[in-house]
Amino acid sequence: MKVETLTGPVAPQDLGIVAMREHLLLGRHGWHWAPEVRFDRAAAFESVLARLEAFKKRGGGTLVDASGITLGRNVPFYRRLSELSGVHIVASTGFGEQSSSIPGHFLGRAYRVSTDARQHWVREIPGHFYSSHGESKEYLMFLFYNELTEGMAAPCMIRTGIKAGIVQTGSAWDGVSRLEEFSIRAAAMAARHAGVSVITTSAGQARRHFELLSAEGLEAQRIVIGHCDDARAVDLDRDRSFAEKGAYVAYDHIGWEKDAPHAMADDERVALVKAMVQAGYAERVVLSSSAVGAAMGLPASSHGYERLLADFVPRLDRAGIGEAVLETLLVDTPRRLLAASQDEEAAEQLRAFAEGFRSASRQQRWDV
Amino acid sequence: MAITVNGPVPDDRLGIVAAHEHLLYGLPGWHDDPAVLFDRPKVFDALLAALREFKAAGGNSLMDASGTLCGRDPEFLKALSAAAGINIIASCGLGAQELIPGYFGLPLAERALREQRRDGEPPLWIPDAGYIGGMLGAEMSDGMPMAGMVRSRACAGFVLCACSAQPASEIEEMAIRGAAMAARRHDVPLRLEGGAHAPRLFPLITAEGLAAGRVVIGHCDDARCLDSARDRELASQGAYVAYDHVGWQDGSPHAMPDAQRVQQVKDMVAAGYAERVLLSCGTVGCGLGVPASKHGMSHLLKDFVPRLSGAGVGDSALHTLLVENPRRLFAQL
Repeated sequence: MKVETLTGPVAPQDLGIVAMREHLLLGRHGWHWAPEVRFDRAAAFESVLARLEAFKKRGGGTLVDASGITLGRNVPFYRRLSELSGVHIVASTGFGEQSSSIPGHFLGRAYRVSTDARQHWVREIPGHFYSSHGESKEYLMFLFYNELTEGMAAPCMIRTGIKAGIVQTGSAWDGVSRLEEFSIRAAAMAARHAGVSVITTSAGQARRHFELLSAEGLEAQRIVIGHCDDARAVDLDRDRSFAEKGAYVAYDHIGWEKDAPHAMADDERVALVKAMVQAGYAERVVLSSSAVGAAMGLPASSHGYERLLADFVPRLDRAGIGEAVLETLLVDTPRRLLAASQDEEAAEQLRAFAEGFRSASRQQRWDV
Repeated sequence: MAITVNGPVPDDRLGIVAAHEHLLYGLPGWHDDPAVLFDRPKVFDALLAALREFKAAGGNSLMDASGTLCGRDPEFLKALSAAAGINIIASCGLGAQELIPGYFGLPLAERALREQRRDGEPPLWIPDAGYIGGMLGAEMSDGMPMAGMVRSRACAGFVLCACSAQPASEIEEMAIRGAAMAARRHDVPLRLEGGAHAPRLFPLITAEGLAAGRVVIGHCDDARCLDSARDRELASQGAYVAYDHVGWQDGSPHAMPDAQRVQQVKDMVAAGYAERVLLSCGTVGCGLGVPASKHGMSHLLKDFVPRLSGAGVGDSALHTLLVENPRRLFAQL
């Protein structure tokens, strides 16, 4: 049992207090082409580092960066931050909403029309035939699985050996597109094979996400339903029913109290947590603040990662949530969620599958 | 004057120009895909060989039409250009809707909703054509951005725009108008991808004040949208019509036998529009997760030009097509 962090595997009992959904850097895919985004690397580094240090000072041990592949993730940058701050960082793979986070390469449209091209694009691995260009869940599954077991891609056409520790997935607020469905199913398949958890975004489609993840055989105790404290979609009955099924509910916008569509007062969040605890679901709740270390072309959060521990936990305390429950919310539950529990047999099958995939891709004509 | 990746080159020194090639081509996001094996030195050698072959056949310059999003790597192009002794003119510009990343392409109503602030202030940022124009302008004045959050000193030398929707979607129209603004401000050519859309989009471009003599209508030899009347009409308005998939004879939806392209060129020359035609092969030198073309960019000079000669297109017309027209495209108006 271990947790893949940016500085290597960590034993689950060493994680300490965990913030389950934060963002170190955050920008919609394509931000680096925009001249108005002045990315001052050194300044961004210092600003994120200061926020990580504040989190650490308040007792924080581990932080999950839940931006997925394309929303600003920069693996070497994050690793250095982790080394300097002493905070364990778990990075995520996966895509969220199609319009802001799934780039053209994965749309599978460009060459779909031609017969010859279609032959070219269908990959053949013993027992598996599927389109190689996004139009299949298997293809995206391989992408995510590769990031969980071999290493993540970094900007500048670099592949690293640093592994993701969780899969982030989601969709648009008001529906799940065809490609988003592939991406959610693929997230479930990759997480199941690698023995890690999935955290979702966009509570507007939470039930649909849960259905799709379950349909691919991911156990409920590997599913975290994110954004359940989004002001547009607060629903205690829904939260209780997810908890009932064994999934986890994330109240992960702590500190977003104004100036955003999802913002609401933290006291309302205290009430949500209290209601879940009273209903006997203390073990099914995780907390975080979705704070942004540095934002590229987006509004950043005004609060930092320490908000959870410096402000929200005292509020919970005052509302009568005891020490033992706090320990459950902040330490025990995330530890269970992040500890990888790989099914060795499934992993062996996947290794053969992945090897087949790689040798097939080596034979492609596109490799000049 | 043409702005190449290695600096300005007088238009009368461009020589024979291939007006539409892709040295590197991949859809945005390709580098996140573990199935794409990008071996930089190997790719460099392969492209260098292709460029040297083009040079040996008489070529001297090429326009790389990958735009901002599709695999362009300015420093790589600079090194290639210097090693091969070929002028490479790089492009900037967004492509069709589905290739425009979320940062720019998020539907505007949605963006307004997301970035609205409760205190009633307007959203932080909403793109418009002027914004895209400024963004592309920066690629021509400050240099082209590249992977790794870095901006190269190499500048783009022409602007690209495209459209896949019927009619153009909101962001596509913005990108097209923005491209026209940037081309006018920096006095560079603009290439519109997709002949089928040209009659609708050409007025949109000229409405931004860009001279017709700076506009290239690409893909006019796409097998799906051949239309000789359209080509003559565009040429009569002063735009350049590009037959730029020479050598794509089978295996893809836009392919057709080169003999048909010879006929197209002959028709245009016979109609008196020799001065409005550009030629190129539209090769993909290195496909980053997309198939490379089977032919190289020298196919134009080694195979197609002899066919044109054989079909009765004379040397002076050939000189016009290959040298004079691109020179005029970049020359002072």
